[in-house]
Amino acid sequence: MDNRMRKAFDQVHASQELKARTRTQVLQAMEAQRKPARAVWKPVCALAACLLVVVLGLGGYHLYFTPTSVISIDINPSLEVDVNRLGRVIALHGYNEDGEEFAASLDVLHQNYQQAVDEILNSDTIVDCLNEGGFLSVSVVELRGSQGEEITTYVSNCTSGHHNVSCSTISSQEAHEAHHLGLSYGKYEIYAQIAAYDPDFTPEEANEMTMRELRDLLASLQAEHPDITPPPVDETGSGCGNGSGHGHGNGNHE
Amino acid sequence: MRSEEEVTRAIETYSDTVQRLCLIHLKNRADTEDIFQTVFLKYALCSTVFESPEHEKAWLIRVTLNACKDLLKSFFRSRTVPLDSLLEQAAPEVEDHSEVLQAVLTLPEKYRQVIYLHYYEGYTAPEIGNLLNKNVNSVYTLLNRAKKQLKEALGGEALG
Repeated sequence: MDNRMRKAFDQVHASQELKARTRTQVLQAMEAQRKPARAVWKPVCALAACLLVVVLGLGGYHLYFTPTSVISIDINPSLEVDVNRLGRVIALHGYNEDGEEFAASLDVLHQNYQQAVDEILNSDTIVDCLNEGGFLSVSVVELRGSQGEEITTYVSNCTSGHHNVSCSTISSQEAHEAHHLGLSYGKYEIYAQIAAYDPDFTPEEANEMTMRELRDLLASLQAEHPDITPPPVDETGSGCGNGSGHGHGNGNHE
Repeated sequence: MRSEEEVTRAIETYSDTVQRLCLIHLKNRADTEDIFQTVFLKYALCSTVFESPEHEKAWLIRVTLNACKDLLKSFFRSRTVPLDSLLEQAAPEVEDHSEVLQAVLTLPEKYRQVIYLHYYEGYTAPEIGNLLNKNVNSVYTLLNRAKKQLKEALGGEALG
C-alpha cells in the first residue's frame, strides 16, 4: 500500500504551462521589486520639475510684467507706456478719453520701447497735434533700476528735430503724486506749476486741457504774477528738453 | 532577492511537490496557480540561507501549507467545487492508483496532509509536528486515525 500511495502521488505533476507561467510572473514581480526606487523617484522628479516650471514661470512672469520705467506722452491724448527691465512695452494706459482711444489704436505691446516710441511719435494722432501747434511733453519715470536715463536719452534724440516738444525725467515720488491726482506724469508737471499761481486750479481741469492749453495758461499766469516762482517739479530729474523746454520756447504759440 | 537561475531551479525541482500539496488542500486550478505564484515569489524574495536541499524542501512545504491555509481562510473566498472536480484536477496526470488518491482525498484535510507528508514525503511524526507546528502526540493521533479511515476506505487493505 505504501508503494501504491507513492505511485499514485508520483503521477501528480505540475504542468509545463503552469511552471512557465509561474516563472514568468515571478520574474516579472522580481523585476518590479528591483525598481521601487525608480518607481518612487519618477513621480517625485516629475513633481519637482513641475514645481520648477511653475516657479520659473511665475518668476519670469513677475520679472517680465513688472514695469521698471514709464514713458508718459502728453499732448492730448495723454498716454503712459510701461516698460519692463528688458526694455519691452508691457502696458499702455490712456489718461483721458482721447488717451484711451489712442492707446487702443496702437499695436506696440511687447515691442522694444524704441520701436514703440517711434511708432507713437510718428503716429498720425501725434503728428497732426504737433502740426496744429500742440505741445508734446514726454516724461520718463524711473521706477527701479537705471533704465530711465537711457530711455530719456533715446526719446530726446527722437524728438530733437521737433519744435514744441519737451523731454524730462521725473522721480517716482512725483509719479506717485501724479497718479494720486489722476494725472499723467507730463500733465502733473505743468499742473503743479499752474497750481502754484492758482490754488483753485484742479487736476480734473488739467486733465481736460491739452498740453498747449496748459502751457498757455501757465505762461499767462507767469506774466500776471512775475513775482511768484513756480515749484521746480522737474528739478529731481535730468531735464533734457529740446526745442521748446519747460516754460519757454513756443509757450504762447496758439 | 534570489537570482533568476535559483528561481528557475526551484520551480523545476519543487513544482511537483507544490502541486501535490495543492491537490490535497485546494479544489481548483485557479487556486493552485495562485499558490504557485505566492510560494515561488516568496522563495525569490526571501533571504533565508538553506543548509541543505532537505532544509529548502521543508521550507517550501511549510510555505505552501501556510499559503493554502491562508487561501482557504480568506473571507472573500467563496469558490467551492464538488469533490469530482477535485479528482478531475488530478485526473490528467493520474493513470493508475486513482482509487488510492480518491481515498486520500475523501479524508478530512487534517488527515490528508499528515498521510501525504508521512507516506509520500517520508517525514517522521516529530518532523511533521515541526512542519505543521503541532504537538508530536497530536501528529501520532492524526496519523493513526487517518490510517484507520484510509484502511476502511480501501476495503481493509493495510497501508504498511
